[in-house]
Amino acid sequence: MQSVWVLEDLPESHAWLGKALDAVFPKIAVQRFFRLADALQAARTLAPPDLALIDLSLPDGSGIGLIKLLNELAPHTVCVVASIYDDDLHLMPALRAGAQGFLLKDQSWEQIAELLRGIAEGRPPLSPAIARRLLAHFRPQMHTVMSEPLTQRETEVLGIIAKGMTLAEAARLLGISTHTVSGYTKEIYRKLNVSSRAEAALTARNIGLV
Amino acid sequence: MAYWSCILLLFFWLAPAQAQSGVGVRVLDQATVTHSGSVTPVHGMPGAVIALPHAWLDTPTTLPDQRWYHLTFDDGGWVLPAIYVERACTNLEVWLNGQLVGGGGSMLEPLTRNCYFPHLVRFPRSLLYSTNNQLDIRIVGYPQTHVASRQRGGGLSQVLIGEQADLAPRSDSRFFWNILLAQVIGICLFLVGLVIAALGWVRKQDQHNLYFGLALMLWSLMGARLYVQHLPLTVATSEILFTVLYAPFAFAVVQFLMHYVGQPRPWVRQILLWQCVALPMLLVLVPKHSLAITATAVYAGLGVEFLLSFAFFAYQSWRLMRRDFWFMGANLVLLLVLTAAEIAIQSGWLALPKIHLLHFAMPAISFAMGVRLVRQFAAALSESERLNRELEQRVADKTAEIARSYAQLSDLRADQAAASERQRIASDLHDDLGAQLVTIAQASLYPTDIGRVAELARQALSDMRLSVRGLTGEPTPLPHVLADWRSETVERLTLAGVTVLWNANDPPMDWMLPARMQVQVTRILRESVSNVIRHSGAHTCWVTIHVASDQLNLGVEDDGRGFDTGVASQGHGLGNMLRRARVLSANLQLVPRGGGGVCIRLSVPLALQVGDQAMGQGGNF
Repeated sequence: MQSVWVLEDLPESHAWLGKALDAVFPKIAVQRFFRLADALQAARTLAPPDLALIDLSLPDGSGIGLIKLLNELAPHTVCVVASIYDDDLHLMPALRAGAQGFLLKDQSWEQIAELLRGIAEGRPPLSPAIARRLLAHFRPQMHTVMSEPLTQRETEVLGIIAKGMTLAEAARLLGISTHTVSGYTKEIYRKLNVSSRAEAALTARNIGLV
Repeated sequence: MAYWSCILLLFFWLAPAQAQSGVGVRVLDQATVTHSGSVTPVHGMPGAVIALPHAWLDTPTTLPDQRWYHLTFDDGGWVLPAIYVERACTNLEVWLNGQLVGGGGSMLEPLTRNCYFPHLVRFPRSLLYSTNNQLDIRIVGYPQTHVASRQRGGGLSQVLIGEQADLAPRSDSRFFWNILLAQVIGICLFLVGLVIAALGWVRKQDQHNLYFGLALMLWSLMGARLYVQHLPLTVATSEILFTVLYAPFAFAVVQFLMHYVGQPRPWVRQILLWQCVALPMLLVLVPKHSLAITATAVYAGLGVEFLLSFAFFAYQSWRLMRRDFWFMGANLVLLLVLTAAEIAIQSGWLALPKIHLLHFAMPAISFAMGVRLVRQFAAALSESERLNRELEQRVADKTAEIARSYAQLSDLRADQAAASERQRIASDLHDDLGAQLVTIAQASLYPTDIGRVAELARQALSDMRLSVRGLTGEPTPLPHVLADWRSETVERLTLAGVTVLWNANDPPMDWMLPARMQVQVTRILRESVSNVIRHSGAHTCWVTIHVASDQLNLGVEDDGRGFDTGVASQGHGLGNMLRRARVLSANLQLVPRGGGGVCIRLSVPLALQVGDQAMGQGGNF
């Protein structure tokens, strides 16, 4: 991790997240944005970062806009939602837009550091509620045409997480390494993003935009 | 009113028919009558000279009685001559100058019944002498004492001789009025009676229709005596049979009247039924020669019965102010007059009329009454349809009204629910967030531990988040709730270096936990885990959850230092936990664990919502 963008309207949160970032990635270059417009502008003109921590509720809009743009312009940038909302209703749209993880701003410093480390190492977080949402999203009869279907293993992983188990427990149950489980998780997020874009295109066509 | 005009027209039409008289028609009104058993005319026997019409009043020696009437006449110069006998009862044969020229059927029992039939006998001119033609008429029948009605007593009317062209219309007219019309009316009356009786049969409320229809049918059966010539019965038997029919007829009429005014009397019904049995027995038992007197007495008795029931009917109609009092009253008075006239005729106070008056007036009146009954029925039907429509309208109105009040009620309920929810949120904010913010304010003024402030704030935030969930939350399937609890608890304890041993049962997916309950139990679980992390110094934590349909049991045990439960510090959040347990009507126990550590036990009574929302609730599998 060389560079990181933080989009966040509160200075205190900037400081807090900066501290966590310093702890996990000591030499990282941090670029701070306080408004969505600035971040969008930067995404179009500057070199994309390796990591982006993005708050959802900003004074001039929703952080989902930046996630979408970065996902489009710089697919390699890892977008992580930093929010005070922990419920799937708020997080799901961000994940569908291409976010690969989320953290809660009121989590303890250690928890955040752990999450960031996981994300950097390719272990995106997955809560039971999100897992349930994902299972519903990929239910075969609902997305027969547009989405890439989940493999059986991916579905198994989601099922185990949805029951409240950790990734490590899932790995143990399935008899595979934690690393492999994380790989599945990332793949699920990618497929979600792909299917969401396909869905958006289909919707646009259906309502006559394309 | 059309009906009254019809009756009048009928009488005016009848009058000229009776007054007709032809040119060159000779009327023979004198005859010599002899009692002879011979089947051919025998002249020279002693006989009495009588005037025609002649009726048999004397008692005969043999039955049926046979008499020969001997008449003489001169040739009137007719081209196509004919003999017209208006009435010969019960049957006749006509002989002219020793030749049989006409007859009406069987002259032996069972006799052919020709009492009501006119006889027109055509004969060739060649049989006539210029003077002193011998006309013999053989008649078989019963004297008036042996029959129930004067019309069927033996006898001979005047004999007319003339041109066929002059006599045929008389014969045709009499045939039409006495026979054909009676047949037509009889059949019509029977059918109308059948229909009305059927109406009364299917609708027990309109039982008067049943009796009326019955009366009409009986009357038309009795009317058959006018035109049925050939019955396989002796005259005596058929006389009894026709008279016997009056009893059920009286039964039907009286029952009709009483039911029509809605005043049926069981005892009257009983008497009339008994009468139906008694009358035949009476008629069979009386001597044959007193049949006429008995029948007249029976008619008089039935007449009195009718009179009484009419009076009763009139009185009840008047009392009840029935709309059809005048119509029915007029009809009944007319019937009474006719019945009285009939009794007078039968008793011999009045001469025999040429046509049977009662047999035309009675059907006309009955028909009018029948039409009225059918109209009443139709009116009742329309009325019931109208009522039905009204009722449907009223039901629709009421349904709409109920729907409206139900909507109002549910609005009201929603308002009440919202009010109680607001109350709850207010108390949550006050008790939890308020207290936590006060603590934060105080702790930041005199900071003993800066990390403590942050922790308190985080706790306040997560509590607020839960409050919001309780506010907007739908009931959640219990397996989802357990998954969330497990995930959070395991993550927190693992991060704090505590080994977690999670043990929970597997409730069905359609067991729904109300949001409010989920929030409170989540807080208690969180607080317990916080205590383990912060204060116990434990290495292992056992979390046990068991959900039954009526109870949720939660246990959090650790192998840490433990503490003196008697003086459990408020700082450990125990107060909050107890308060929340109280809100849930739950039982919370804090007990020292054997071998060190603390055990928190919570028992929550459940009123689970069992629903099919499980699949629609968030994401699931």
